[in-house]
Amino acid sequence: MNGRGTTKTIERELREIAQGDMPADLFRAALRRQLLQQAEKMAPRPERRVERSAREAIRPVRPGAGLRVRGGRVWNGLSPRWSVALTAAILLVVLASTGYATEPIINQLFGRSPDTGQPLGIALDLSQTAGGYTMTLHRAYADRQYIILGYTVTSADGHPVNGVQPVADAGVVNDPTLAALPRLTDEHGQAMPALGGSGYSSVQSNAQLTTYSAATIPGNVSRITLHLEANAMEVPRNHTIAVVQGKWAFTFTVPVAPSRIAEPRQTVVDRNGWAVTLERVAITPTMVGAMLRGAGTEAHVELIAGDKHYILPAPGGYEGDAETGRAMKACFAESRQCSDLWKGVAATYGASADVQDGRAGGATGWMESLQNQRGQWTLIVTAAKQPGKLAQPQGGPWIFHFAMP
Amino acid sequence: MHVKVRPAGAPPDEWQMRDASDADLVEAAQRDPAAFIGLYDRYFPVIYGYVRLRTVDEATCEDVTSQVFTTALARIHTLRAGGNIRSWLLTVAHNAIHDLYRRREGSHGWEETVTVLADPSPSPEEQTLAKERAMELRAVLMTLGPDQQHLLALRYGAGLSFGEIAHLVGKNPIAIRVNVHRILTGLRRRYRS
Repeated sequence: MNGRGTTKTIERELREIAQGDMPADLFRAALRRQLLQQAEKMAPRPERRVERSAREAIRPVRPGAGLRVRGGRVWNGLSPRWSVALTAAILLVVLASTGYATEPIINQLFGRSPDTGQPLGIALDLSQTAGGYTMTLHRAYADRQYIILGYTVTSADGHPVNGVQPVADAGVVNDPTLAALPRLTDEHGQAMPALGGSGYSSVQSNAQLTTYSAATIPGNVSRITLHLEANAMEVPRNHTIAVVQGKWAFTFTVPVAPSRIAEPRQTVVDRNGWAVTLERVAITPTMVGAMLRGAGTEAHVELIAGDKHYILPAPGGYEGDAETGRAMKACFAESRQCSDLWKGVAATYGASADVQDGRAGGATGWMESLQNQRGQWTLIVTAAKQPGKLAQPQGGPWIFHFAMP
Repeated sequence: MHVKVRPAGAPPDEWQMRDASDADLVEAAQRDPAAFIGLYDRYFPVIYGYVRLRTVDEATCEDVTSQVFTTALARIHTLRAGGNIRSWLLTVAHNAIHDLYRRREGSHGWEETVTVLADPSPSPEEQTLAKERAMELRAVLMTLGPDQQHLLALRYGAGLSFGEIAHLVGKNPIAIRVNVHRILTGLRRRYRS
């Protein structure tokens, strides 16, 4: 090696390129002046005195009631920004009053679910040893949205190891996609697309989970037999990835938790003629999701279920909230992440660990399933983005009322 | 953390916002756009570093960085309470670069790279070995796919940890680490050749 082009050298040079040099400092100062001038032209937004009670502010909005345009977009007498701020405050109150504790899904799998007091899914405790590593499939959970598998990897003598990732086979060790994760198939050989995973739990330090889409499970199935197979493991060693080949295969049956689905198929047109359709709302024990059409992929979505009001993160994790762990999802028909069931709900959940840096990453889970919430719900799209456009979310609001069975 | 709101007529330099949280700075900027400068000061290195690894020359880098912050300033009021400002800015940057390539009819920088490398009159700075190597590496970087550039720029440009990248793109941190390692390995092969 001549010092040019080693991975370490490239990493260092990439960082040096990113940092820039003297022209960047001049540019930084010039842009700062430009932004200050731009800001000066933008009138400061006066703080508005909010005299309504918080409860009144978030009550479900009847079509046409209290909805008016006055010098800009106003929702039920409050600007969207205020309504969002109030919502956040109310959400904190709701959480505090109910004593609800957010729990990462990996902890619910290996520990217990706040909803039931029991671990999520069923116990399997199946082990396979190959190549000096033992993979133990501890637990499995399935619903109409997700199949979640919890496992650990230990050395052959039983010592926990971290950062070792089972993969489908040695040929996909460097595959950048989730297809590299162990293959999961049903009894007919139908593959379940992998959605992600994580590798850190406060309940069990070497716990890992992998999540698969359950979109192909038929609606009337109450149990499903699955086959999980990994034919290689990625083992981090001295900043490189070693490959250990072997076979870790498990066949098991898991109950499919029931889900409830409402299909409002409502189309609402905003004052500018922009139509958004609420196709479907579904609830499983692991998530609440809404599928929208015509709202782009970055719409701002709020949900009022009973006396509770939530802001739904956008799909793909960009709006994921690591602190509250909300995993409610708005899925947009325009999103490439959409799967067959939802046209895609790519949840970001479980905890994560940065192996190289040795730090635990953000822990997310679901705040509460709303599995037992029924009745009249209201979903509000406060801003949306034209499909295919690069502008920020705008327009709206679009308000949908529907019955959740 | 309380953010001091600018008194009428007071110059922005008098603000003391260095200790403010992101949420406080965002809230202040949503009340008074001039307070956005606190976010700019905090996140310029992150965004500039990200954009620099995704563009082939300084002019383009500065154009995109300017666009990111002017857009962010104009749209700061749309950021939701509790929203992650760094993720939001990086998303704006990612979209700006996507838009740039789209406007250039699908070019991902390679054509520009060829032009730059063939430039017969490089600037004096570019005559140093370090500059040439940096330029060459940057050119090779442009031959990667947009998703690969995005990952490397998040890691080495924006300085995010693997866990933070995983959270941002919604994937497994281990998979992200493997991806980055694989991309670096491929980059190294091209760079050496």
